[in-house]
Amino acid sequence: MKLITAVVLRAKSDKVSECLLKEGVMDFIDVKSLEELDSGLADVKAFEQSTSGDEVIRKADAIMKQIQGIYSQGMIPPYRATSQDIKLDDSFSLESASESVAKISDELLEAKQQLKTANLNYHSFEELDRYFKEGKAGYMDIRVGKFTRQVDNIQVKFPDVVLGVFPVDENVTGLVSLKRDAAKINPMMEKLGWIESDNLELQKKAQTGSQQFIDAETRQLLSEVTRKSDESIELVKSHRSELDYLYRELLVLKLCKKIKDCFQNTKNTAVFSGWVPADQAKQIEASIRKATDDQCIIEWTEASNVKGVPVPVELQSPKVLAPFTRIVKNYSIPEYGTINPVIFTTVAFMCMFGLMFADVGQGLVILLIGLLGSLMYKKNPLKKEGLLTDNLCHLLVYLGISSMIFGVLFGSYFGYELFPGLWFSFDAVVEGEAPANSLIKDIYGILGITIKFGFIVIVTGLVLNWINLFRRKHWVELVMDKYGILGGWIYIVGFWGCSYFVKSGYKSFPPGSLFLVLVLTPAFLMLFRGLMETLVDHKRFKLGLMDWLVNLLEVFSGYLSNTLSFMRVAGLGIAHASLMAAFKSMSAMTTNPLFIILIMALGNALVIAIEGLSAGIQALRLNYYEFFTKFFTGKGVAYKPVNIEE
Amino acid sequence: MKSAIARYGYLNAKLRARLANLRDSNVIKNLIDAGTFLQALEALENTAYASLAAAYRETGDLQMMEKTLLDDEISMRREIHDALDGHSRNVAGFFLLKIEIDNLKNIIRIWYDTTVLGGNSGYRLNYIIREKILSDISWDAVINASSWEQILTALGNAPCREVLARFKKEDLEKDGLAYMEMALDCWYYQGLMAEVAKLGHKDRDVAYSVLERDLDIKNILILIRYGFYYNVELKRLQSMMLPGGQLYSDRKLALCFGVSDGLDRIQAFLVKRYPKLNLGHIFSYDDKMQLLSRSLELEYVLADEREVNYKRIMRGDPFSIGLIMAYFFKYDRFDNSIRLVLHGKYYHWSDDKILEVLK
Repeated sequence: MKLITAVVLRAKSDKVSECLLKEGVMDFIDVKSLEELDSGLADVKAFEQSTSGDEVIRKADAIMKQIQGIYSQGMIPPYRATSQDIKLDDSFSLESASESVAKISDELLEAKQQLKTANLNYHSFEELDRYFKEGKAGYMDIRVGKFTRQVDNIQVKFPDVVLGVFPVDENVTGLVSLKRDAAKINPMMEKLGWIESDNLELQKKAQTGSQQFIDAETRQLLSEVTRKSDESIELVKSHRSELDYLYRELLVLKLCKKIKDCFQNTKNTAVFSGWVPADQAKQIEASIRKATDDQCIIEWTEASNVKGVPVPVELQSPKVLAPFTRIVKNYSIPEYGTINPVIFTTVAFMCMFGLMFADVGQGLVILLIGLLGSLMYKKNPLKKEGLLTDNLCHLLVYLGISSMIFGVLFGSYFGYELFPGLWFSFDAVVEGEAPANSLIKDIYGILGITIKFGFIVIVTGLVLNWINLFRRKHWVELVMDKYGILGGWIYIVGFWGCSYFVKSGYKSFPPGSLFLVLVLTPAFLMLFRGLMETLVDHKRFKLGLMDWLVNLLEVFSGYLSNTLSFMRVAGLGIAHASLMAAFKSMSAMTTNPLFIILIMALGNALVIAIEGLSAGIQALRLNYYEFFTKFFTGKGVAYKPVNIEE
Repeated sequence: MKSAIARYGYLNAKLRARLANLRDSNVIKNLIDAGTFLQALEALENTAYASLAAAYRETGDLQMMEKTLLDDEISMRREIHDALDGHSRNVAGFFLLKIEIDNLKNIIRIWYDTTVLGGNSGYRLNYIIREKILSDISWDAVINASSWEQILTALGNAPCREVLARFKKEDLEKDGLAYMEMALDCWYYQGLMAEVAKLGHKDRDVAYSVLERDLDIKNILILIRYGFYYNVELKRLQSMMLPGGQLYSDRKLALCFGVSDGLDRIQAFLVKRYPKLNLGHIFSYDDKMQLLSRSLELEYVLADEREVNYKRIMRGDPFSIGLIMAYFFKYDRFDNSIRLVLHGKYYHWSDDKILEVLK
C-alpha cells in the first residue's frame, strides 16, 4: 500500500472525482489526520468548511431504492455497475430522475391495481370452484330460468356479489351464486323479472353446467391473473433500459459526491489523501494528471513511513479460495505487513475435515450438493439465500473433495471398504480388525496421527507468527513471547519429550540431562524479557518475575491443551466410523436387499447431516482457536476503496 | 412432562435470536425512511418480512400483504404452542385463540355489514383466515351463513359459541356488535385468567403481573368510553368489564355501580386510585369527542407500561412463561408497526403522521 496526497485545482475536482471513481482503488482518509504526519499540510489553515453532499447522496439513495423496488417487482436482478458506466451525463439531474421514476412507479402501481382486481375476481370464483370440488355445493344457489326483461350485461346489475351466468338451453339461463348473497341477489332478480323454470331436466342440466362453467371461469380468471402479473413484470422490463440508465447515473453521482466529500477545499484548490495498492500507484497518478491537465501536486508516502494511521489491508486471495477467505474475514482482518493466512487456512481446514469425515461416497454427496447449490445460485442470482448459502455451497465443494481424498486414503466408500485404503483402513482399525500389516493398528494410532497433525498446525502457526514479528521488527515478542522463538522452542522440545515418553510405553523421558537443559534454558531465558525490552524498546527496566511465571504457566498449559484439542479430530473420525459400523450391523440383520439399501441410505444421510455438520464446526473451531491464535492478531483494517462495482 | 428448562430454554433461544434478527435488520426504521411504497417493499427484501413483498408482487394487494403477515404470526404462535406442554401450552393456546376470536369478529362484522346494514364489504371475505387456527371451526360454514342462527349453528361445538348464543339477531340490530364483541373479550380473559391460575407458582406470578395491569387499563378505557361517552347504563357497564385485574375486583368500585350518581363516583374513584395516569386531565373535557380522543392516550400508557414490564421480564428469569408473553407482545408490536407503516406508505401518509400513529 502507498499513501497518496494530492492537491488539485478546485475547478477540476469534478473530473478528478470521476477519474478516482473510475480507477476504483482509492481508500480515502481524512486529510486533516495527515497534519500529524508532518507532511507540510499542517501549515494549511485555509481549509473551508466542507460542503457536504449528504443531501444529494440521500436523495440519490432514495431514488435508487425506489428503482430497486421496481426491479424487484419486475423480477429483474439488481443492476450491476461496472467501471465502464462511469461517465456522467450532463443533462442528468436528480429532479428529472425522480420524476421519471415516479412516472414508472405510478404505471406499475396502476398495473398492480389491475392485478389486484383480477386476483379478487379469481378468488371469488375459486371459492365456488372449491365448494364444488369439496362437495360443499350446499353453500350455492343454482337457478334455471329466464329474465323477462331485456338484460344486456347481467353481472353489472349485481356488483357486490359473485354471480355466474351460463346458458343451459337456447332460451334458458343458468345462474350460480352463493346462498349467503341471496339477500342482495333476490330483489334484483325480481326487478329483472326472473322466472324460475320447474323443468327437472333443465335443472339437472344446470347442475352439471354450473360446475363446468365455474371450473372454466376459474381457469380463465386464473389465466387473467397470470396475464396481469406478467403484464406488470413486462411493464418493468419495458422500462429496463431507462431504469438502468437512471440507476447508473444516480450511482455515479452518489459515489462522486461521496468522493468529493473526502476532499478538503481551499479557495482555489482541493486536497485529498488515501491508500492505493502499490501496483496501482502509477496508473492512478497518470489518471489524476490527465484529469487535471497535469495541474496538480502529488506526493507518495510508503506505508512503512506512515505512523499513527492504520494501513488498510486488502486480503488478496485467488477467487477459487473465496470460502476460506470468508472464514478468515469472519475472524478478522490480518494486520498490514503480515502473512495472508488464507492458503494455510485452506490446507488446514481441508485436512481437518477430511480426517474427521473420510468417505468417498459421502464426500461425493457433499460435493454434488455443493456443485448443484452453486449452479443454482449462478443460474438464479435473484434467489434468496437460505441456510445453504452460495458461499457455503462453494465450501461444500472443497469439503466434498477433501472427504473423498481421505476416503481413498482410509478405504471408506459409503461405509464399505470397496478398495483397500492407500494409507490404512480407518474403519477396520476402529472396529479392532486392522490387518497385521496395517500401518495403524489401533485407535491409539489414530489419536497419535491427530496429535502429530495438531503439532504441525501449531508449529506452522508459530512459524507464521515469527515471520510476521520479524517483518514488523517486533524483536522482543519474536524472541521472548510465549508464541515467540523461546515459547516455540519449549513446545517443540516438550513435544519431542512427550513423544519419547509415549514410545517408551509411558515409562521414561529422554535419558540424560539434554531434555531438561533444552526445556529449562528457554524457560530461564524468558526471564530476561524485561531487560530486552529496555535494551531494544527503551522501556523502563522491570524484572517482571510474576509475569515470567504466569507466562511460563501459560506456555506449558496452553500448548498442552492446544495440542490435545486436536484429539477431537480423532474423536469425530472414530465417531464417524462407529456410526457407519452401527448401520452396517443393522443392515446385516436383514437379508432383504431393499431393506439393506434403505438402512444404509438412511444411515449415510444421517451421518452426512450430523457428522458433516460436526466436522465442519470442529474444523472451524480448531482453525480459529488453535491455529489463528498463534499468529493472527486481527488488528488489521480492511481496505475499502470507493468502487462502483462493490 | 418436560422440565421448565426444556420447555422454555429452546423457545427462549429461538425467539431471542429471531427478535435480535429483526432488530438488527432495522426493518421498521428502513420502512419509515422509505420515501414511497415501492421503496418500502424493497426495504422488506432480505428480511424476515420478505414474504410480504412477495405477496404484493403476486397479488398487487396491500390487504393480501396484511393477511400474509397474519398467516406468519399464526405460524409463529402455533410453533410456540406446539413446543410447550401442560398448562403452559394451554396458556399459549389462548394467544392463538385471540387470533381465532378476531377472525370470527371480522366474519361477523362482514355478515352484519352485508346482511343487516346492506353494505358491500363482502369482498373482505377474501382476506379472512379459513384454515384451522385452534378450534375445529368450519370457517367455510361460518362465512356462508346467511343468518345469525346459521352462524351459531356453523360454529358447532366451538367454545365461543355459547357466548354468541346469548345474543339474538334483534339485539345486534338494535345495539350493534360492540356488546357482543365485549362479551367475547370477557369470555376470552376469563378463560385466560383461569388457565393462568393453573400455572406453577413462578409462572403464575409473572403472568399475573403482566395481565393484571393490562386488564386494569383496558377496564379504565371501557369505563371511560362506554360509561362516559356512550352513557351505557351502570348495570350493563359493570357486566362489560373484563374479568381480572385489581380494578375489577375492587369492592369500592363495585359499590359505585349500585347508586344513582354512580358515574360521578366512578370518575372520582378512578382519579384517586390511579393518580399517575392523569385521569383528571382526561375527565376535564369540553365535549365528548375530546374525552374519546384523550382516552386514546391511555392506549399509549398501556403500550408503554407493557414495554417496560416486558423488558424487565426479558432481563429476568429466562425460564418462565413471562418470556413467551413478552415475545408475543414484541412480535405484535413489530407486526403492527410494519402493518401501519406499509399502510401509511401505500396511502401516501406524511412521515409525521406515520410516526404519530406508531407512537
